[in-house]
Amino acid sequence: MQRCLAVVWSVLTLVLAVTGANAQPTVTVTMRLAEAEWHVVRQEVLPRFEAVCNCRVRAIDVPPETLVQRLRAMQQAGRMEIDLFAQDNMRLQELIDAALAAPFTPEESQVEEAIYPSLMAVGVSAGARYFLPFRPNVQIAYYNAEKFAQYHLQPPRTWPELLAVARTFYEKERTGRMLFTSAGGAPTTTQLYEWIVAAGGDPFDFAHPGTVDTFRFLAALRPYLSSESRRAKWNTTNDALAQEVAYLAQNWPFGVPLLIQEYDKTAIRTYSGWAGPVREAHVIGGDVLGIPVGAPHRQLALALIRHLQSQEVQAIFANRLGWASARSDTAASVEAWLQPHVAAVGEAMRHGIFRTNVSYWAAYERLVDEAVQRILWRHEAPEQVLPPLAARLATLRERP
Amino acid sequence: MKHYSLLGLAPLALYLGAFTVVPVVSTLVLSFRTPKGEWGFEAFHALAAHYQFGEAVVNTLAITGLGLIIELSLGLAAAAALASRFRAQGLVRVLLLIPLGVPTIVAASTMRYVFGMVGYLNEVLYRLGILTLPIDWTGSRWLAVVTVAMADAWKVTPLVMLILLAGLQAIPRELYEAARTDGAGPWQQFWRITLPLLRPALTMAFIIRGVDAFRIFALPLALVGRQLPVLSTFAYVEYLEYGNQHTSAASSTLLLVMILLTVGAYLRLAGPEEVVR
Amino acid sequence: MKVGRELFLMVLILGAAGPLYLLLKVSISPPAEIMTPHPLLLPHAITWRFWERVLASGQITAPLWKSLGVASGVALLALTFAGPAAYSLAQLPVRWRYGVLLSLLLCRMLPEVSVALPIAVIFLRWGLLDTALGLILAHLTMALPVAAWVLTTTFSSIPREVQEAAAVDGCGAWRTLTSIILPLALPGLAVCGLLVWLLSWEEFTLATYLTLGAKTMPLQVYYYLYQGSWFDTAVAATLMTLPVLILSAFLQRYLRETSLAGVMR
Repeated sequence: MQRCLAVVWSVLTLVLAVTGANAQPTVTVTMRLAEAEWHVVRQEVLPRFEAVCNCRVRAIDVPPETLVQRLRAMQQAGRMEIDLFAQDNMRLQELIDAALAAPFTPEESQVEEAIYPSLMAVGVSAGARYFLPFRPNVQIAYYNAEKFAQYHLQPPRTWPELLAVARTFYEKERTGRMLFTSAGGAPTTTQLYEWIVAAGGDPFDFAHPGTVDTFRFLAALRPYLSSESRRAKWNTTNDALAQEVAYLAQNWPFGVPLLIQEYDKTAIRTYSGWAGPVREAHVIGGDVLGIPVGAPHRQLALALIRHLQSQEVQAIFANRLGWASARSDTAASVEAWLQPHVAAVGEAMRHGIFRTNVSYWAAYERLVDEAVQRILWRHEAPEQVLPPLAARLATLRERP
Repeated sequence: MKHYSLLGLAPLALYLGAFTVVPVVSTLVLSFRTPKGEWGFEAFHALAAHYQFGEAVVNTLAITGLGLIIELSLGLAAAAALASRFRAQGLVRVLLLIPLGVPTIVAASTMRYVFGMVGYLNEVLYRLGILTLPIDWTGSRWLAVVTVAMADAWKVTPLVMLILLAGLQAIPRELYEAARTDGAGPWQQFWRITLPLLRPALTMAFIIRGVDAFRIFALPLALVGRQLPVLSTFAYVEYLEYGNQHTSAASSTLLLVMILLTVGAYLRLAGPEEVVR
Repeated sequence: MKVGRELFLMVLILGAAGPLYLLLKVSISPPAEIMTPHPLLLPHAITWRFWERVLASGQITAPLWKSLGVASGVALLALTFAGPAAYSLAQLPVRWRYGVLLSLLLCRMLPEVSVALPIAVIFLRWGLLDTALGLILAHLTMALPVAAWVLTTTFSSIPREVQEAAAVDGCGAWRTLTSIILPLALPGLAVCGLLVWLLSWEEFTLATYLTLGAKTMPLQVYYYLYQGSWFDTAVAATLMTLPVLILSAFLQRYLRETSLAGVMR
């Protein structure tokens, strides 16, 4: 009798174990990564989490623009299928405005000491925290070393040098070879923001002398810019560099593996960039982590956040992908071919600035767009374009 | 027979009614409301005050008009060339249908490789000795309009050709034979027989193409960027980049009105005779 | 005249197939030949590594099957439902016909971005995220108006005399339909099927809302375009064009010239 019971018991346990193993919860995380970056995340980062959490991770690529759309659609349908998202830190306002991101409690908002405190500021709005740090990022300058050597030029480190280099290329080749990302939207606003700060101006005041100086400099640079600049944003800039339409451009570091490994453009080098009249400044972008309202596996999502912020994982990002780390205690041992580019990123980070988060950012972007388009591509003078826009911007600032 | 008619139509009408009514009504309603929830024309005012609005309307009309002219004439010529039997007719038809199979986003990117500064068009012209410096095909506004219209026509002309081909083949041979025995030349045959009998197919091609042509969006953005705005650009940018549903809906409503007016005008002026009466 | 026509057709073929040739060329060329200010016109060196990489990545098979399934489903259902409706519409007086058709098209007169969200939310609410069924139903909202248009024009272009002659010969309504009307309408049906299939095959906006983990081909191409390399995009885009070529090769035999002469005895 006892033996019979023992057999039944062990069979039952086996059955339960098998079905239990199959009923692992699945946590769904979305990010936007380049193909090369996904490779590392899927092969090295996520399996480590699956081993400890007793769950499965479904990682899906979702670009920042479509993330908001998808979350909105799911929210309206009453079915949230995403547990965690990594979002570009310049596209957060919509998520907050549309109540798509769930706030963290003060306990959940605690992060390890090693995480740079400056990265925590961007996730807070109206006293509540909606996002936690994931990875900081900064734009660097790419240049075509062969072309620079051909005309005996050095990568520019100041605005006058920049103007001289651009003019030389134009005169020698009868076409502009420098890119200014003026396709509109976030790419343009980011680039202009750091140029304005580099000139000592106030990005939110178009009447400030430093800001006006920046636009004047752009107008001076205009004849020597590549016409490809009109289409230049983050992916088309890489194309332009690859096809040698442009020899100098600013972009995020994700272009490095693409240009150098994938496209074999070994002539492309990077450095931190140039300083304006007052200082060198680079906007610190990157991704932050957030949990959508109504996420089905919130606890697992929180655990995944800790995992992505851990020392081990941040070291993987730094060493395999050349990412800047969110922690101060990351031991870096970067692969040889990545080292000069990681150095450029590090140097740019030393001059890093954070964008001020304002509630009228969308309206602000529209004004920046108009200013850049009119000055650069309609050849209007800054003196005529800026004052009315400055007035509209001032109205925005005064609203509560 | 009358009862059959309505029965056949019912499921379709019901399904589409449910799905057409919701988006159209929601768009119209959104365009006449302000963010504060009141009724008003604020969204339209904001749209009209935009520094690129007038340009966008003109660009949309120009690209659509030019595109339709190219597509209809080229499509008709191609359909006529394919209508009668010849060797390898099937193969030629399949080859000419290729552009339809290339998805819009890829077509837009491929066109950049063709019309770009270091694109293949410049390269071919350079090798033929016609050019020394590359031309910026999307540099000036009107050149860009022509380039975009041509790039769009590339993708869509096979469709027009298909529709007109089916229409041409429905015209009975006897009519042409009778006209020939009466002494009519090929041009008169075309004018008196082909065109009138082709009217339904032409109308269908015009409407199916026209409706889509007004909504063009991906191609100008990929080829030129923000400097060649069209009405759909406003709908897209206002909604997805600036999160403003009202101005986005307002530009959609405007587009809807433009399309209805154009289609109505065409039906009145050049549609099948019974409609005109 | 014949030479003129042949020349014209050759120019057309060059124009139509040229860009596809470029895509194919990009997908099999080493980067040095493409990423240069003076691209070569003819392929010199050929490399298959991009094809191997994309096909082995495991990111192509599922989207390809999903898109194929959805497009075929949409085409079949559109023909089935729009067919009878179009036949009925073709019997209506002309003004009514165009009135109904235009109102069916209203939805297509709005930019995709305004229309996609309300439609997608309905299907999401029914739990159809990531399903082929949800996509098929959503695509039908776009496909049915187009199908109704094409088929109505097809049916209304068949002369009344043909139907009446068949009645005189003693055919009942059903026999008229299947042995007289359908064969004459075959070119129109083929065109309609192809059109609707293509519409669904390259549809992108609704797919963005209605898929999360199970992408369709256009979404995969979009991914490669913005986050992969141009070579991956070229491979995926060429792959997307192949089924279209096969389908149009299959359907084009229905576009053969049909003569009414034999029917009108």
